[in-house]
Amino acid sequence: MVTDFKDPAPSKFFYKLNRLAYKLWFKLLLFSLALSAFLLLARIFVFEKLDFNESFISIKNNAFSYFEDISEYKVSKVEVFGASEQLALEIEDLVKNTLSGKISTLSVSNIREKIIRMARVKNAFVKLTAKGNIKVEVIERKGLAVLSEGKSYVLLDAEGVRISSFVDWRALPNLPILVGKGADSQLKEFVSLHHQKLHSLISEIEFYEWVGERRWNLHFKSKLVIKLPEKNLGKGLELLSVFIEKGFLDNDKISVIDLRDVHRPFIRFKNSSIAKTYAHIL
Amino acid sequence: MRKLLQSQRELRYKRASAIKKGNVALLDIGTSKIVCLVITFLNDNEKHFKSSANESANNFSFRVIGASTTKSRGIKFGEIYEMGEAERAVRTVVQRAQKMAGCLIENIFLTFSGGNPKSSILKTSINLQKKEITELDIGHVLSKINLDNIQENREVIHALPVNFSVDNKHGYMDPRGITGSDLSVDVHALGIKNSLIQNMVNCLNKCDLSLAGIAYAPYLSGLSSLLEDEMQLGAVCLDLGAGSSSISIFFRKNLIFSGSIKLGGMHISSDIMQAFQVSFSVAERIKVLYGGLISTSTDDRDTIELPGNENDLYANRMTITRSELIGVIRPRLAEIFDELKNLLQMSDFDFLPGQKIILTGGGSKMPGILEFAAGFLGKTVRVGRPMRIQGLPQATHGPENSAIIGLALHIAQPHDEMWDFKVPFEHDGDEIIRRTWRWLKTNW
Repeated sequence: MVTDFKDPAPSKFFYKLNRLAYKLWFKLLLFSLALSAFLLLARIFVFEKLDFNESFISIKNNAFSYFEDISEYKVSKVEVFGASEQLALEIEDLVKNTLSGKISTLSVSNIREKIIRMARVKNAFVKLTAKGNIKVEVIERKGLAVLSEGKSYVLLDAEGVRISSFVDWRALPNLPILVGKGADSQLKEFVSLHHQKLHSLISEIEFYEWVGERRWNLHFKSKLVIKLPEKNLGKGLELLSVFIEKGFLDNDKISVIDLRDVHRPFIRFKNSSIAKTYAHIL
Repeated sequence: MRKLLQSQRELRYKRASAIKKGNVALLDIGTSKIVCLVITFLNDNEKHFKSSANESANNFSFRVIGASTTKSRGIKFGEIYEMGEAERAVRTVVQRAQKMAGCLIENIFLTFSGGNPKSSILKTSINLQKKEITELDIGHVLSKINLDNIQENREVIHALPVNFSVDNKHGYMDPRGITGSDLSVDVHALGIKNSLIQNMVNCLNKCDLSLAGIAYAPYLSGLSSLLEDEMQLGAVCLDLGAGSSSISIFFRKNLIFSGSIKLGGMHISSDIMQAFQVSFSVAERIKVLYGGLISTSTDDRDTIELPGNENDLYANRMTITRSELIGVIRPRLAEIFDELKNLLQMSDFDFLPGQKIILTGGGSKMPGILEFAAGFLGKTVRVGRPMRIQGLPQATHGPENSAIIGLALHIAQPHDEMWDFKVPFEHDGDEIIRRTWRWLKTNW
């Protein structure tokens, strides 16, 4: 005897749902919803829960261990880009010396580190090509000024990094000369000063003196000395430009223009009687 | 009258659009079972549509792609008694058929056998000025028939022109092209109770289905089970259903009479249930397995064990002889046939040249019914099996499915009914607007 009779009729809701399932627009709606849900889940579980970056780093770090069985290799060519001829030769020698021929020494990061350690190299990118070439792209440091340190001279770049040193003054490049203790640390300020305000006077300036680690003195070839202020350097330079316009710099009778106090500039003449001549101008 | 024609034509257009879409569903709501078939029209039908102006005259080839059956609920004597239960049963059968066919059922063709049908033969004529009869003349003569007042509270679902007469010469089936001065027509109108149709339509609407056509089951049983010669000479189809039994008389390939009585196989089961004090399902089971109408000498010794309460081990087991069972079945069937005989006498069947009786429906599977019916009615009787249709298994081609198979055949090859003819007073402009509106409603 059948006691648990089950109604075979679908409920009204499932009947309507079943009918909807035959309609194309409903199928498309369901498909798009399923796709959206899948993409959402994929975003949550695949891209957020799993750290691919970590896996990639691990693969990258252990990349050379995969080649441990290979005992020897040969680099056919070292290509250097972005460096001067001399630096390119130095880098080529460095790379060749680094690679001993053993696979364990073939580390791109190791080569890069060694290249970056070179004073004249600002940054470097090293690649090992499929043909067995090593391709080095270099950003070379450009000399901006020469710092005088006793009897030797040091070539500095815009960041104050010491590129190279010279003993013979005749070998110096045609660059501004800095004098004074700590002048290299003020190189950024010097660069702005040099390029913005004194561009027209570069050829006439013999050297730049960093005095007492606080202010600059400009020494001209005509033995004229301009003393710039400690603070309000911009205002001091504006004042200097007024003096330049008035032709004070062309006058060989002036020995010092003192702008340390921008409100009270001093001019020292080689002979005091001349001062009387210029009194009306001042 | 015009409203009736329009509503019937709406159904005709729905039928045409459903056929154009490719798949249609058929539903037979009976007292014992509800059957749903999904048929698909084959591709070669497209050219038929294009080539013929009269769409209803086309014959379409089709194939069954979905079929399902379920036990009826909420239905008695072919009418809905409990809407909720009936709705659930329809939902069950439609969903299963949909699943099997793999397509959505939207439009459905309905058949049923209840509703106390009433047949009327209506006659009218027009005078022509001695000319060749055209389709418009046929429409004209048909338009003179007023179906509105002949049957109160009834909806005419079939209005078949059964006979045309030209100058008092009878027997024209298609008078077009015949020259004459007087054209008369006999129309057989079959009306069903309005309320029954409304309930059926409500039930379908609740299941999100739209009625695309309606046909009376005994007529369809005859269409599927009668041979062409039988229909030509005159034959009666006795449809022995569960809740009602009906007759449909065919002559010259047309239905000329139909009627039903509210007695059927269910009453036999009910008698068995009362006689042997068993449940209805047990009574139905023993009727199907051991039932019969002609007793033999061994029937007194053939015992049938009635299934009792399996949980009660101490209850007495009850057995009956087959004679006892026949003794219950036979009187009830005699009563049914007696009622049917009265109906036949009312229909003047005895005056037809053919006197064959074809039994269909589940009741016709009862052993010994042929001999019984032949003896009782005094006519040649045979059990009708419906015509084979593509896609339906052999096992389902029994007499119990003759109505639904007949419905499939009726959709594919419909007989011309009154509303298929163009009536002259109809305005063409009005028709164009209505057709446009119908097209918009169907497609948007």
